[in-house]
Amino acid sequence: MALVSVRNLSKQYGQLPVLDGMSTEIAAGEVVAIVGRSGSGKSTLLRCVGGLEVFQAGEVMCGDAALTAGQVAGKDYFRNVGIVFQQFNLFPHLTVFSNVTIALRQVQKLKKPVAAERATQALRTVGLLEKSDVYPARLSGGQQQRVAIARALALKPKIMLLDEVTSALDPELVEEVTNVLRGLAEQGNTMLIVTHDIQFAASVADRIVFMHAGRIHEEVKPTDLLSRPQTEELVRFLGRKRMNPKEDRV
Amino acid sequence: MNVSLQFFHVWPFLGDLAEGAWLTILLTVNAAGAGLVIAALGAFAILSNVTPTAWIARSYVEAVRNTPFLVQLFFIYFSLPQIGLRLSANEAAVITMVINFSGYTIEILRGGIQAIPIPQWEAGRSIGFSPGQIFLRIILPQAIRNTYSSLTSQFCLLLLGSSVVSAISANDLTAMANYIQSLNFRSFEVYIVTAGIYLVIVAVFKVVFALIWRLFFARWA
Amino acid sequence: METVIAYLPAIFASTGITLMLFITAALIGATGGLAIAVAHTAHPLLRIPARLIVSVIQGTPTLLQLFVVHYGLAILGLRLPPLISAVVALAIFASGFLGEIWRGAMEAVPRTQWDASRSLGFGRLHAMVLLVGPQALWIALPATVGFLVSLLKTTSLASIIGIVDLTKTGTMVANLSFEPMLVYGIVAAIYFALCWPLSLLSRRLERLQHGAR
Repeated sequence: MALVSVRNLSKQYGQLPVLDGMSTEIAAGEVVAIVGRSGSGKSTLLRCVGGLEVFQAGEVMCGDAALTAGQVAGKDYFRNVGIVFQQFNLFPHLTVFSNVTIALRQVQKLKKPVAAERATQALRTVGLLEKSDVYPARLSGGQQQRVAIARALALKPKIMLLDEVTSALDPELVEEVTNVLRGLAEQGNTMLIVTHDIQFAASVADRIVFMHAGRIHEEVKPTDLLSRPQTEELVRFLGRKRMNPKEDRV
Repeated sequence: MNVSLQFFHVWPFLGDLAEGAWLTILLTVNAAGAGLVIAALGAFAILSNVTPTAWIARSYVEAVRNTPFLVQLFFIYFSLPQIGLRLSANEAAVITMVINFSGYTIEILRGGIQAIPIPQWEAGRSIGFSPGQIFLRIILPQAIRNTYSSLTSQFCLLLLGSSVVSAISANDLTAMANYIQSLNFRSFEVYIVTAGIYLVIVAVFKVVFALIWRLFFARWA
Repeated sequence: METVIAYLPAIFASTGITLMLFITAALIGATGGLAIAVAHTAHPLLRIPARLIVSVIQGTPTLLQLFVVHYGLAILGLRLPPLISAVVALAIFASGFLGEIWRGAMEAVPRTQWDASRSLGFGRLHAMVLLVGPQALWIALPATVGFLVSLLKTTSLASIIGIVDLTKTGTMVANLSFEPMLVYGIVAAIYFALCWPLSLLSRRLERLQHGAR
């Protein structure tokens, strides 16, 4: 039984189609990486699964909630997903600790000690417990992104959605974040990861989805990624990547 | 012209001036507090996509900003009794000040809110906040920080502008000055001392606002 | 209702007094404001009194300034007719605010513009009038027009010292007709009709400048 299932999903911005009737499923415990060029629709897919976009056709089921065409996601839907953004989007007016606890207290209505315990756990997982009382502006980009991961994680979502979470980081800060994500994958968290970083995708994912022109063009096992790409487009995408790994950043 | 300044005529009335000053402060602080709440609602109304409420809020802003405070004051004080709402001078003063202050701060807050990146709203949604919660807990605090200096100077303008409520004999500092000069006939000295008191009050509030900034807002960035 | 209609011409006529106060105060205030702004850039010794004047004008209620001019000076032997007192007080108010707006605008012109003017052989005054001044004027335009709205509204304070302007006429007609809501509504509508176009203009200018940048 799939945890997430996307059926015939179509989304366009004005006249421009971004997702073109695509379908896929993600099982509980699975880590799926989506790769593809800019404009292939990979981030839009993640945002649709995350309930941040209203789409024109198809449906998205996630845990015990579902979204249909034209529907705006509500509180019940967001209980299922934890989203980490490219630009962190921490709340600048709250300390690290409050960033993690605010939804636990205000949305999940947990008692203060329970929320504190969960936040402590999540911050320990990302290795930033000692920064609890600091405001986000005092943290490096990598640290901010780890707090953002903790904020999503503390809500115990059914699936973690990670949208280009290392793209806004300086190269030397990427690793601390990917290490945290590797840890999460090993602990059996279900994750959908949109990334440009093929090496990282191959090292952490159970399955790699290559998107092209608003559809899934090819799915491969990480071990087969480089040895047995099936389609011309994926070969070209990988080739470009290998020659020019930094070109697509940002 | 024989000019001789006789400030000693004012000293016996310093207690009364202090009383008037205190009332001016009370009127202003209360009006600003209530006005800020209304302004937050108004800014939310303008930025929400509900057309009629946005239109009402916008008209309110334009009406307040393009008519004199004194006329607003007379309208509240003299015409509300016509529909059975009898207000004391102080009540009418506070209500007019609330209306006036919120009319200006709606615009200030709206600008401050629009400057906050959309992803902050998305982050709020993604952790399950309702639009109201996002606004109150995430957007508004940041908007207040972004517009802090405009808001505090608007507060000072409100404080100085409140002297106009003396026109309906509310018991504010200027009204007290009017009363005193009618007793000692030293209007020049009385008004100069009163102006000095206003200067001091504004200066004190500026210090208080700077302290609030350092205590609550400076740490975020 | 009939009373109000009968007095409508008087209300409109008094709008003329309001406009007269506004225009006179704006013109005198502009001169004063210019002097303050120039004093700021001209010499460090002039900067201190200029700043002092501005902070007193901006730090005390305009109504009190009016009272000092009208009642205060009378006690000292300088008895001014209400109309003169009102114009003087409003002009003082306008000088303070316009001076501050224009000073800010002059400082907003990049320093390099002064350097460039100097390098072409212009003197200070010459550079100010021909090169820096016009740029500052353009920068200051939205705020200046915005302040005119304030000034126009502030003329209503003149009614408190007995000038029969739009507000005062409103008060009298309201008392005569026992219809304060209608009368003050009309008075407010007239002020609105005068102020709103200026507000719109100010906003449009602001958008024009920010769009152009």
